[in-house]
Amino acid sequence: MAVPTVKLPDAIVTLSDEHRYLSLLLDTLEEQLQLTDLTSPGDFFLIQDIVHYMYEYTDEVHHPTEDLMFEKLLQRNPDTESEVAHLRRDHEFLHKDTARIEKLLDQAVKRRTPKAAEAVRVAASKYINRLRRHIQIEETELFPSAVRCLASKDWHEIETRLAARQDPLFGPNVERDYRVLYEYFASRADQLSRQMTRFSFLQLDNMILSADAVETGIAEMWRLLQQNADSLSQEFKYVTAKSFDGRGLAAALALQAGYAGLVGTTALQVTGEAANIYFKTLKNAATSFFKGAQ
Amino acid sequence: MLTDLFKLQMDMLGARGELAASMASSCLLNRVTPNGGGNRPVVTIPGFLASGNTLLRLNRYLNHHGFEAESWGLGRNLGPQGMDWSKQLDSLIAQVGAKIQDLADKHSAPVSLVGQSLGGVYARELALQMPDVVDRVIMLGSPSFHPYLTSHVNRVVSLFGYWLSRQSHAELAGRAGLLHWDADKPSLPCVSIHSPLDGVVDEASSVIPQYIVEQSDNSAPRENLRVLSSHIGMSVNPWVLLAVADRLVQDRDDWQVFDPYCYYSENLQWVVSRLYPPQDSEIGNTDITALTESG
Repeated sequence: MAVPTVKLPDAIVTLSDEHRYLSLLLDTLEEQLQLTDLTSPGDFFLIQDIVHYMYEYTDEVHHPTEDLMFEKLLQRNPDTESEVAHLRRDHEFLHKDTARIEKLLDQAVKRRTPKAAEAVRVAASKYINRLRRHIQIEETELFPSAVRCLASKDWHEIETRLAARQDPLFGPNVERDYRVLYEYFASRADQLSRQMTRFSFLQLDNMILSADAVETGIAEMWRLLQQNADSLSQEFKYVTAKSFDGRGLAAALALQAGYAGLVGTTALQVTGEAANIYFKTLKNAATSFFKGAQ
Repeated sequence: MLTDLFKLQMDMLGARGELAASMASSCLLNRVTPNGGGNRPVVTIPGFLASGNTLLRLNRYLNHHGFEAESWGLGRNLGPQGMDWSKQLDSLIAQVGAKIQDLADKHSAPVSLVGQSLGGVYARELALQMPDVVDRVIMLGSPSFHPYLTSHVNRVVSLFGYWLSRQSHAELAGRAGLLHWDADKPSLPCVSIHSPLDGVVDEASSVIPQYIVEQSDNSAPRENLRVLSSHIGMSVNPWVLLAVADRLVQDRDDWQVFDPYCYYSENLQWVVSRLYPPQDSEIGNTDITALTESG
């Protein structure tokens, strides 16, 4: 039976995408606050650029668009009043927070003292936690409610508001002022895709297949040896005895060679099979690694 | 650090091989090189810690083929030496800029700039300041100085840079960095010649980002040209020299991407595809969504 699919309004898709990007920015901000000691000007650049984006786009476009959506939701579903009021208040607090962090960052760059750096850390951590919680409430409570209650006329209005200003960093065109930040993330994404490609050399399923082939092969060889242990031992004794009296040496050696051939062929087969699996793994990885060059 | 030292050693070794290859193949190279026509001034700028003499072979080669190539005239390139970037740029405009202006006046033609490594960064920034007298910029393994991507340059070379300038990579480039040009500004052609074997500058840093290349049009072409070469040997490598000469004679109004196959016989097609490997689509062509999904 075909599963019915619901097409989400474009505005919700865009706002959710923006939440993903915001989460990436918050993770990076948090990571940066832990990694750097905020003493040289270079330590601040990434943090300053992220906060500046939050101030210029998130506070000026993303949150006002959400406010418009909440307004429409309130008209359609008055039960959501308390959540909407809470999130609107959050937007105001977040806007004040970003302005404050920008100011603290400027002071820290000028002063370069541990106290100024600590003030940035405290304010930024508070902001990160607040925004993460805020995004979670929107995603789990208000967005689903908006999808259920809003009419296409409402969505059209929201989409018009969104279209008026494109995302300068993650939108279709990277604005000049945001190139540094964009290329930083671009570089990290490149590194990630390269790591993934390299990792495919060690993909677990291929490793398991290869190991299995080798183990099966070894077990087969061991079984053959055990099965023929008695006859091999007798043959060995026979060959030794005949060798000393000089009769039938060639026939005995031929028999011995036959056994060696049997075991050898099995070993070769096993090795070949394992090599083949490894070769395929490497080929797959190399194909994806060099696919741009093909 | 040890890996970077090893890479630098290998790069130097490769450069010696390329010099030998260049000497051995000069007769063949001269046969196919396009002619500049006699009135194409070119200024070449050496890389960090390299003297103007490192570009002697490139200058001679270009002069032999109808270009008017000259070195930048400031001897060894010692980098910024403690100056902040704006002061460094002012000093460059005063010295190299004056030379470019003189050459442009003398030939009544805009000057092409060819810079190796840091020299390419200088060429890029000089052309931004004086686009009226510059014809095009060709960079040989030149990085973008991104303010917070500091691992793009060999750490041994970065350390030398720090000793000489006493400022970090980020402090030198400032918050805005020294990135590759935008797609539309300046309206000059810009070619970045980069190599996957580069032991000094990470290829990802010398490549003009794919989104810039895609957004650029014929009025301001941005081109990435991939070659198999060492970093230090780019100015002597025969197939790089050929690419530089070809890009210098390329018509600005009808810009076509470099086609190496037209210079080599059909029997050598396989070799050509190795000497000029196709662009790696994973470099500069980015999907940030993957980054958000990876957590």
